Amino acid sequence: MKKIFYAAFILFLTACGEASLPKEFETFDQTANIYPDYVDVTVPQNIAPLTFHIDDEGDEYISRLSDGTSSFTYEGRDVCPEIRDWKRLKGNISVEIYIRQGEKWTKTKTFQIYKSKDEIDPYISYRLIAPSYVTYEDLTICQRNLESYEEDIIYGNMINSDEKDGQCINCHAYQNYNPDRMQFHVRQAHGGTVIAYDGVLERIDMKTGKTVGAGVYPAWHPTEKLIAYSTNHTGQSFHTQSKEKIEVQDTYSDLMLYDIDRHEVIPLENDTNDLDCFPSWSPDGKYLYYCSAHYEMPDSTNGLSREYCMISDYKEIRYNLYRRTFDLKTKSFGKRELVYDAAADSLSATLPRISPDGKWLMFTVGAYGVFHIWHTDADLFLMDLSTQEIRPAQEINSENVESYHSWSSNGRWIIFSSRRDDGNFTRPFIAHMDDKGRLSKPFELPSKYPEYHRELMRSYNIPEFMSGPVTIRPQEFASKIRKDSIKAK
Amino acid sequence: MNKSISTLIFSLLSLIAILVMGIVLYSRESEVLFRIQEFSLFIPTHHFYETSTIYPGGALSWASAYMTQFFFHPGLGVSLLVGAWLLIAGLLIWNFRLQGPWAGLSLLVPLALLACLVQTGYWIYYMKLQGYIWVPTLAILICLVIQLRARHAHSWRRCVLLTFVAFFGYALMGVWSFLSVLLIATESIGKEKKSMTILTCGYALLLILLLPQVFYQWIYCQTEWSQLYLAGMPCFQYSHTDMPEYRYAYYALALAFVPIVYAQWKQESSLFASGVTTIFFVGMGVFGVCNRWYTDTNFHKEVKMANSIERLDWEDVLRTSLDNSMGDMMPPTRVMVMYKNLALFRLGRVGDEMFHYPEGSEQQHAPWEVKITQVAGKLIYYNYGKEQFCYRWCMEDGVEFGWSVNLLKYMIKSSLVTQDWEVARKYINLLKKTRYHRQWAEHYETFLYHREKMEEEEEFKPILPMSEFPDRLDGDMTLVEMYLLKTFSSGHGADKYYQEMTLICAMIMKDIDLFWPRFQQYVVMHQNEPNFRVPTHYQEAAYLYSVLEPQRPSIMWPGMTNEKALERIPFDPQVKQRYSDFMNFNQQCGSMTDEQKKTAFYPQFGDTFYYFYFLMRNQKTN
Repeated sequence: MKKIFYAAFILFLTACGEASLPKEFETFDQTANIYPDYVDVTVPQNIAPLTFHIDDEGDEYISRLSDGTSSFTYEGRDVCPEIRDWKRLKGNISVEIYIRQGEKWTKTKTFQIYKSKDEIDPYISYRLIAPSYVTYEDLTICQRNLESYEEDIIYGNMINSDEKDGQCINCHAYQNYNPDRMQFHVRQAHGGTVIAYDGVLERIDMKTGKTVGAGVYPAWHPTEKLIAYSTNHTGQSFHTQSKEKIEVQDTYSDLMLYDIDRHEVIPLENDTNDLDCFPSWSPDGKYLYYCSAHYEMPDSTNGLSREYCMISDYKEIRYNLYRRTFDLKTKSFGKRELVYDAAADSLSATLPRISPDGKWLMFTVGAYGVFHIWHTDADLFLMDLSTQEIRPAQEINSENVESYHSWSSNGRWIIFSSRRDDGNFTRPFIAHMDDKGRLSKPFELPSKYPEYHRELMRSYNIPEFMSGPVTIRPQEFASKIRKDSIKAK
Repeated sequence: MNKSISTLIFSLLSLIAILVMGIVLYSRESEVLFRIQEFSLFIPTHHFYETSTIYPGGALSWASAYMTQFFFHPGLGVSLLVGAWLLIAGLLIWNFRLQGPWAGLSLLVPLALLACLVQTGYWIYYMKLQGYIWVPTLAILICLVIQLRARHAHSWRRCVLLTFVAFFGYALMGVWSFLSVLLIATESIGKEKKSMTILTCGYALLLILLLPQVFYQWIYCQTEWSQLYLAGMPCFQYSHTDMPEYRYAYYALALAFVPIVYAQWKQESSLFASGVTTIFFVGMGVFGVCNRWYTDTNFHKEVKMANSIERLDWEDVLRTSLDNSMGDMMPPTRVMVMYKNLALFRLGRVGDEMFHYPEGSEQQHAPWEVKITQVAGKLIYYNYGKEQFCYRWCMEDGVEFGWSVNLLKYMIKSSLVTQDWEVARKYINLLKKTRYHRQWAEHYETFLYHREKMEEEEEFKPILPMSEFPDRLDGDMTLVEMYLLKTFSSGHGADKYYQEMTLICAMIMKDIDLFWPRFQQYVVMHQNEPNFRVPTHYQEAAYLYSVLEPQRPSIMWPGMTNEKALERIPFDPQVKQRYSDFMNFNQQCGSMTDEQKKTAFYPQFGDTFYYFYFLMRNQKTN
């Protein structure tokens, strides 16, 4: 009896093994419609398996992933390779998809997933936030292991929020990809900037009266205990018709420097007519890049506020890219130099980020304004810093929004925000860049469940690479945030 | 009377009472229950489960959201709920060995559960706990089942069980699990040695006290410290307003166990004593339910009207507006007035009947300021073509109060109108995964990328032209009606629907300057239609404004004053006559205050613009 049972059990296990490919089928000259679109993308060796969902209708599905030496077959509409299988696929992966409709099997055009030898930083972090306008509830700054699907919360606002005192969190940033040196802001309840530096955790109140307000968009100096910020007075208004839905504007914005050791805010020149924003250091720390627009109130405003006038003129406000030299000894900045006169091209350039090798400057371009994540025309552009030549990054742009972007530590990968899936929810995409500055077709951050991003009602905000995970627990952050802050000088 | 016979009789009475509760619930609240289901969401996916369970008690909320779906058919939903209550009553009788008249005490818990449900009122728009309608019922049911299974555990086994139930229970059910812990611990009373009983109960209390702290430190990083002991319970706070009265039913639910536990220890009481005590407590329970039942007529009318609008049953909206059978007639809320005007507008009768229905601006009866944005903003904006604002408030409310079927539906419809196809597809795909809204989603899926099909659809026909206007940056400051009145009354449009709205809003705003050009444009746009006549209320407004400002240059007849033009406009004789009657009556009532006049004039002139213009003042739009 026992033998029969074991035999039946082995038979059962065998039956659960790999599906066999159909013997008879017709071939179709087009690739299957899959989500996310991983057709002919280039991925790093150490990325988690790319899972995908077959959108084409059918009664049965069989897919095979092979690299010439190993192959794995999967049944079903969701193709979810195991991590161990994926690791065995070391070369470029051919993906064959067979779809049965009625009695007939069809093989769609085989596509490739190219595995690059360039590794990617093992972690990214981002804020998950619903694309709402005024309200917020559950905000989390998360870290994701790119080599698996593991996602942890670095800090979530709900641990220190209740119905009466909400808390907004934003703008996480790291010094040189180092997860032990990070900062993020907390607004409203227990507001301040949380700075972690090699185990020392502080909450800083940066409102000193010397600037428009506290620090907003951060940029860690690559080597020193200094963070440059823009400090912004931001407002928003709503489109009554446009798909862009919302217009976020700064009525005032300046730059400032924060000295971590001295707890001191050092303002840069404060010109109310210049709207400076999104600082970013060059990899050697000798230049601070940023964007800036010039806006002067009309002569006759009939008593209207600056905010009202700027709302009326919102399409005329355009940002150029500038940089300033930085003297580390005196902690002072030189005069501003124009890097890209976007306004002359009737464009508005924001979010300058320089590649770790200092060769490339990537930035976001839209027709106007500063908050391009809501501008459907926003695209990523590249400037070759050796020639000052500028080109749109066509290989990775889409018809919808591309905005925030960051470079991997080896400069071979770019992670950027895009709303190409549905126009409303931001998803992170990753693209490879070769040594000549050529970009590959980007791929969407892989998920354990292929349709995860279709279901997720939150956007990924500020995707940043990290060399490892943040090890401070959310509860430790929460405890520090509840305690008294240090008042910056 | 034999004890077993009296047990049977009181058990049966309890059963019958629960059935009656179900019938009353269904007959009085089916529209509200349907709406509650619309404000809930259950998607059978991993992601939905994982999202639900990031807080302690999430699994209970998830399971309750599953059960809430069945209120799509209110009869089915109520039947399931009543079934659960019957089980609860049965388990109470069995677990606590309620004999004789004590068996009637099994009704107390279902009564408290009913009170938790029917007290909600406007809170249905603000409730953050998914599936809250089923949460207490499921929680109590699970606790009683655990108690049933744990009855025979003794000494150290009971403590192991306590640990197990507390640990997993807190994660899955939140603080409801502590009821289970207490029930298991109290089982030891009288069965174990006194020292063991003290040890067990002390251990249970220690678990209740410390376990949430352990979870806080090591597991849940999205729960605020003060919420640890409220996990799995609905929160009755909105912004800075605390509403303790909503907690009374939950206190009653907890207290309902006191007489039941007492009865367990007083098995030998006389029939009379136990009968009187049972009747007293059940009476208290019934009184409590009646006291907490939210019977506000306007709330129920608002809900019914909204359901009818979403079914495109415009006549039912109007019938509900006038329905006297739904409770005490009271002045309508602005939401009801807006729903009524929308229905008349869709039926093409607004110009003739707008003032035939009650007008008013009664505040919603709730212990906080109820905003139209939450109650009706999405529906109103969508139907008047302000799709970006509809979408915006769906997003804002989804973020703040949680995603619901209703929000997804409006996000789909508004995205279809704005041709934001891809995001509409996203929400359609989500709704297609639900049990009862798949068909709805598949219907709207047919419009994806097919504007021409939308133009043929009865629902979209009047909305599409109204949604076409130049883009600008704007904000409604959460004042839906005022925003619509201002934007429409100052707007210009070549579309007939849009144009008529500009005229209606100018009339409601009582703005003479805005009225005349819109009135003129209305006449020009419609005058070549067969059997054209200017609707009565528009005539009344034109007649009144001509009389009020006789020397103003006429817009209808350039070069003339209003006084002269009056003779040329072919007003209906009745329009003139009623104005004349109105003024005569006004002279007769000369010494009356405006409030007295409002009452005196209403029977004769309540259905005229004259009444609205002169006597409906200081209406608080919001």
